[in-house]
Amino acid sequence: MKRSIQLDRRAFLKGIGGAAMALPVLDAMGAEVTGQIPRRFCAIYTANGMSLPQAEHDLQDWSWFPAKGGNGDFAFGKSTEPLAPFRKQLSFLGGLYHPNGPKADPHVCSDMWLTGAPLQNPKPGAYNSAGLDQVIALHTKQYCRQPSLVLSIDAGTGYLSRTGTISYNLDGRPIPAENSPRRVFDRLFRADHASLAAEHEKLQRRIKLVDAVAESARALDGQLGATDRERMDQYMTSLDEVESRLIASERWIDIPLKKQDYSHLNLDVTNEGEPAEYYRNMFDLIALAFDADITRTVTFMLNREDGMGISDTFPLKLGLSKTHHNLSHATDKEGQLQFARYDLFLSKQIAHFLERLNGYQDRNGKVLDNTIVMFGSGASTTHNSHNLPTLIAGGANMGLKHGTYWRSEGEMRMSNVHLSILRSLGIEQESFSDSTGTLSNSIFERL
Amino acid sequence: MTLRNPRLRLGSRSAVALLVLGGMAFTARYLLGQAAAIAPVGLEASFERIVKPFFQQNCVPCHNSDMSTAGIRVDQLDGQFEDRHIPVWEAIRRRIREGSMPPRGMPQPTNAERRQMAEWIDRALEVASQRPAPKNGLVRRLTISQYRNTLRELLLLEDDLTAGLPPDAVSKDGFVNNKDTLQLSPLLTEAYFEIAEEALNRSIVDPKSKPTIQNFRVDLGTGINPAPLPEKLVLGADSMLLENPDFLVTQFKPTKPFAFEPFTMRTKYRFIEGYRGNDTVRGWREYDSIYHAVFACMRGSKGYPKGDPYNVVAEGLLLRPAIPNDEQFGADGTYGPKANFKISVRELPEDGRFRVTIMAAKYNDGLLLDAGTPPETSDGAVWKDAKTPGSVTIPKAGVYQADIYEREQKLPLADSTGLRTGLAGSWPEDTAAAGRLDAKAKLVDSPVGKAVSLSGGSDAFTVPREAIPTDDAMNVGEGDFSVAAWVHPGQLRKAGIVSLGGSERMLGWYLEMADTRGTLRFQTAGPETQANGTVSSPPGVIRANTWQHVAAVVRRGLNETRLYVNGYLVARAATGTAQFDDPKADLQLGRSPGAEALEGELAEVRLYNRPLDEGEIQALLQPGKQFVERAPERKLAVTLTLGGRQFAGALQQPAFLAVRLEAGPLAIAVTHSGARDLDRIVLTPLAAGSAVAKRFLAFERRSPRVGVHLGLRRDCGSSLAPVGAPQTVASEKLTRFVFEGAIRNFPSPSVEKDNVNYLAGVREIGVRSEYTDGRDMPRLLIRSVEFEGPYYESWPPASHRNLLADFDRKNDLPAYARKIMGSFAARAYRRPATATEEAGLMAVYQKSLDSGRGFQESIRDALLVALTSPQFLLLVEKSNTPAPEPLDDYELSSKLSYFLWNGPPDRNTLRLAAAGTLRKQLDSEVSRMVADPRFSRFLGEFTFQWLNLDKFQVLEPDRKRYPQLTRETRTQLKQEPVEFLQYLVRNNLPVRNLIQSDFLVANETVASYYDLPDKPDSGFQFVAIPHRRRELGGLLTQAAILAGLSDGRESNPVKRGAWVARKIIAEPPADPPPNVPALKEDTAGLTLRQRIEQHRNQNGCRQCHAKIDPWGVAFEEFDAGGRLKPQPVDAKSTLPDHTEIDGANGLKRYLAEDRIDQVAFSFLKHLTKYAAGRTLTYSELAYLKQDGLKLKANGYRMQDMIRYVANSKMFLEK
Repeated sequence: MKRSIQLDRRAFLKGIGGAAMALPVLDAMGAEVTGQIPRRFCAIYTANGMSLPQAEHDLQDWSWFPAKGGNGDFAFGKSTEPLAPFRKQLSFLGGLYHPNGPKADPHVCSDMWLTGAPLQNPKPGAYNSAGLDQVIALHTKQYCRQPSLVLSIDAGTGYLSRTGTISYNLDGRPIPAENSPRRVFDRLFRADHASLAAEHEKLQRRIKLVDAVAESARALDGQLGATDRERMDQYMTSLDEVESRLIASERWIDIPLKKQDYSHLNLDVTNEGEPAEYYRNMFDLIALAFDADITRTVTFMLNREDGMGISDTFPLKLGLSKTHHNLSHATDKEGQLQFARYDLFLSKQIAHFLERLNGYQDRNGKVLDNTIVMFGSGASTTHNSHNLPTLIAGGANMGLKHGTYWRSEGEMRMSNVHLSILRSLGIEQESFSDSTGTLSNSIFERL
Repeated sequence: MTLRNPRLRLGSRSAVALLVLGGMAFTARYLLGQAAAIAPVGLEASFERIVKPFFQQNCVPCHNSDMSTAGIRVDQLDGQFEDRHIPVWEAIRRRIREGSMPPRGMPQPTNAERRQMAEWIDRALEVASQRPAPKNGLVRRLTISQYRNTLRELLLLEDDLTAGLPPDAVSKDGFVNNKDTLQLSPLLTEAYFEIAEEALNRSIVDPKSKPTIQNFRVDLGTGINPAPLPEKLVLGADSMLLENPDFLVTQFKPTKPFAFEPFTMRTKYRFIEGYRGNDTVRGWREYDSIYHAVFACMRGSKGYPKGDPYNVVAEGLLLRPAIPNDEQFGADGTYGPKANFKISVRELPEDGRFRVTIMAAKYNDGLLLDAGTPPETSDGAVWKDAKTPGSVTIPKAGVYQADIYEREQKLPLADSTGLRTGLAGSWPEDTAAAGRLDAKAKLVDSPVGKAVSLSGGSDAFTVPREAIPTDDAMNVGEGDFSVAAWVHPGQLRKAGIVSLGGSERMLGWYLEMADTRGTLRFQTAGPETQANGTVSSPPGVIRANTWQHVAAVVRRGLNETRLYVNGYLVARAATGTAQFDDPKADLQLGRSPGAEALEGELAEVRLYNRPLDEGEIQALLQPGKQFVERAPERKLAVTLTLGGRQFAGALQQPAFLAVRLEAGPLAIAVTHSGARDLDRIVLTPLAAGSAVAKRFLAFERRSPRVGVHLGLRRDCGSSLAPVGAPQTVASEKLTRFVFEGAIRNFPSPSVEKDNVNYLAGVREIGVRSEYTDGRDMPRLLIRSVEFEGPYYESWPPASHRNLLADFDRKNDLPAYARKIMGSFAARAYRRPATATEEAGLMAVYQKSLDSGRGFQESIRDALLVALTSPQFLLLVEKSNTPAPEPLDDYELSSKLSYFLWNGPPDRNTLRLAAAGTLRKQLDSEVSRMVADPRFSRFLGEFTFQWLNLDKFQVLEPDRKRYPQLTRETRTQLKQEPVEFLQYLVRNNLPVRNLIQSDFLVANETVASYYDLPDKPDSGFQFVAIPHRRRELGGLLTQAAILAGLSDGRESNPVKRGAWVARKIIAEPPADPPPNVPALKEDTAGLTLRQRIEQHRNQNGCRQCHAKIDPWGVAFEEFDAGGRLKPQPVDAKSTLPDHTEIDGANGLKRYLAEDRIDQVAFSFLKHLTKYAAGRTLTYSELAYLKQDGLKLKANGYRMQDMIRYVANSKMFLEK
């Protein structure tokens, strides 16, 4: 196929840090792709739950769940205090659970956080089920360069019941996570020419094959006579849609990135160094990726269950007394306080992220207002799979109404939250995983 | 249809042609529709004259667009009398006739008006039943399962690539193959491309390359490994590995008729994360041995109810039936069954087929005798000295009972003379080595002296090491020692009694309560936290809320660490010789690492740096003599060796084993674990008629079944899926059993290659003696487990040769390509491809070639186009006119095979189609297809969908009420209706059997669930079993049906009634109206039946429920698990036609005798819809109801009905 505009991406990349060319993005993409205001999703997971101190220790102020006032109002606890400036942009959700959680080994809660799958007895051949972020990616990928971004504290997937990623593809297979800020940056913001060319070629070949299939379909159509054509029409429409997506993906390759300021990044950090510095840079990368509309769905696993991986030692690095997993098991006052202090540390990182998202602008407002951020854990504390700590921020432009601590009457399926998020993003699915409906009368107003 | 992309629009010429054709079709259809709507100009006119005024007068006020009372609107009805409105019309007619509408209190029409209305509807129905359905061909997409089957058969590829596809929608009739619900979407189309690409990548190989093949075998048997790994292997929490000398791993190079690379497993590994117990340990360690890559592993095997779950003997590994796993965390656990033997292995191929070969035999086993079996009293061979092995002479060959007698345990007299010797201290009252009270601990008086009282939390009584610095009497070092205490626990839970060691299981020793079950445990850890031995009592020896005396006497290095409760020996095991002393650790009372402190009291805690003898322990008991009770004894775990055979189990009484023995000398030996000693063994020949002998003979006839499972290891267990069906191991000679599958279809760990966790990414090959219902079964002997994969019989593999067939002019690439394309397209499209289609594929090939891709790649591109084309994905029946036309032979061959095989036609059917004789030979072709193994796909799909078995599949039964409805049992019960139908069809039995049959089709599990007296020895195989139970037989009372129509707690007559009405007698109730009023809240005390009656009596509910509930009430004798309720239940019911019946039996009799035509019609109706893949019109249903009666003469036989449908115009016309 002929292309009217040939864009030299490399020439553009040379402009980083200097004067980047302003290129006619809209013209190149066509309004159907770029005219849309992005709707984004970011899931941030912390393992082993949050500190919910026992009543006898007199540490209520340190409970992760806020103290509830009247009418959904609430007071931040000491461990979530850093999030107070975002009160109007976030909400706490209580009483959530995955019905399959209590049935399974409590260590699979990170596996099923975004899938709700029954992991106590996976089907033959199956590993998990599709994750929320990937279902979203399915619907957003044609609008951006990368279907999704999957990050974790440890690279790779980990393994079933001790997962190192919270993202599962549509087949339920784990998607290996990335953990190196430099590699993520290089891949997202400095793609190399050879891989671009290969990607071009692959997409072009696929487009040609789709054309050939259309040709084949026409051959069949010619034979159909008076046959009812409803299904054929549907087939052609689907094929057309598939081709449009391929063309859109292919065009992205040549579109220059939005000009951004990268000066605050420190790409030399690793997870072996200072935890705060590491998290800050990872969050900065996510924020930049959102701002440049490189992807619309991101998962980031901050730490891993059951003493796995490097993050287990972070509390020690921060001067706390025990490893992350051991703190989560603490039943004594000091241990529970220390666990809460780690929650405080995490709250600071989340606050930094929200601040970044507020600092970037979409055409209709702040990036955070077009992004649903879900932060939480698959266990309330010490592997208890009920009352999952859940915080949802952003998404004001998608009808989310914040500033409350919402608790369901009785228990509420986490998958109903997932479905509510999908609907808020404009993805009209009937259900998600084991959902029974959306969260009515909650923070999701536009369902 | 708007196509954004002009290149995808149908070519302009054909579009015009289409428009014209379409226009013609439209007109024709319209005209026909008009004709069909009843040349009925008459009806339309009379509608205006008769019906409309009647509606306006009597109905519309309540049944209109604003107020559709009971979900009914009449303002939409018109003289077209469309099919979709017919149920409403019929309901109106009934109500008008019986006078139930308009309701009382409203103005009523006259009788004449009623009659006129009803007659109008009668006439309209008559017209509707005659009007032909317009036929415009049929285009269906393949269902997901049809697509899967078709891909597999077309490409000879076993990998299932369709797992990620969204499930097909279900039509109103419950079928997924209805043309209207089989939608296409961009998502699906995209997936078709991905799958086709992946499938072709896997099918086509580079023939010049050499495949890599992994082949290894694990041999099993005591001491089979001459050079075992000296290190102890650990595979995570609850790791139970076979002893290193008992398994041997060998890698092979299999013999193959082609060149290949043998795969050699990696042995060098470097890991940073590993496990000790349940704790992660970090630190780089290097490994270099095949035994760090392959493990012979057991898991989840604790608590086997009868005998040891497994034993290693010289000949191999003995396995008892693998009992499905216990509940963990409130649901089926993941640790796998007991015994769960598997080969854990780091590396297996990722793709391709594999083959697991098991060498196995049925063990010449003895029957462990149940509790209550009396000892034999007559004389037999006696071995008097159970402590040493020896030999007895067996007088004559036959079945013997072995009785093993224990030696009496005598308690010595108290001896307090030396009690001051070697005493390091005695707390809390010791003033020389005083301790301190931590947290809320306090001192209290008790019947056994001053006691420490602890309330859990951080409470403890700590004796600092500095308290006795001089001789450091607490330092037990590498020596013997004893610890004793009086303890009064307030509750049983994991808590320390006395410990001397650091926290988190560091160096030291710990006497503790292990759990909430009253287990006393003594744990030790040597330097670097290496475990040095654990000694555990059976549960129940520690009791809450009473005083008891506990003591541990540790003699190092011997099998002599003994635990006593109240002076009775409760455990005996070895403690190693490690140095236990941590000079920084203090002695703690009431605390144990990783647990809350004891809640309760402790007194007279003594530490001796020498072993106490039993007389001394008796002396320590004296202060609390009044509390001393005998501790419950653990049954001895005994291993009896007779000749070369081993029999292990718990000794619950002298009567231990029934076993067949040969005459002559017999080596005899017995070992046991447990605290007490054995005395003698008595072997007595059993009289042939004795109960034990009879049970033994039945036992001896049974054969275990070996099953292979493949999957992955998890920290919390395994995910394993069966490889094919289990195979019966009937011979006592070692025999080869081969299991094959495609490795992609099994759970895999999906771990990145460079994972640095010792336990990550481990795959598992499980081998089991399969469990059915817990009956006694000779053990399965496994000698070896061999793996080969990818498994190729030839190279290139069949999948490759299937696509790139041999050709005599391979150098003539265009000719070769044309040949490949032609043959592939014909098979993929299930008919010869047209010249245009072939040219299209060739053009794809050519373009790819021109763009620089190689021959195979270009072929692949063309095949990909074929696999994503509508010719492949859609089942098309072409139509030229709206009038009915016969299917052409190729269309018929596909329709038939997707009906009866749920998959593509085979060569045979296609050949008949090509010859144009398929129609003529339709009956014989149906017979052939029914006899083919692929017919089981029809049975699975149709039965499941017709009977709504999905409801049973997703049922979550209340586990307390229905403990027998385990997952495994449900799996078998779900299969019962399918196997039942299969039996009826294969034997061409009358339809009446669906309602009433004097046999069940069951396997061991199902027969057990129904408590059948004649249980088959058929394993998982379903066989017909006659029964004489009034409540059994037929479909209706099968557990999968009745339990599936419950909520897992209570039986539900409404669901059951609606199901019978819909599925069995084809009188589907109307859909429940929107906004059904909720049942009133004030019904708490009522039974479900009463609540339903209450509901039924509400206005607006009555009409429908009167047609539903009576069918379901008849099943009230059955609980939500589908079995008879224990108490008699009132199941009398008055059916809609006013027939009085009593219970399910009455209903069955009524259906089988009075309504069998209706039952047969229901079956035919569902079958026809499934076969045709579409909804039937009113006239077709009317025709079927009438025409189907001709099958009655022969009793409506099942195969006859299938043949009837295949020959019907609903099936054959398009």
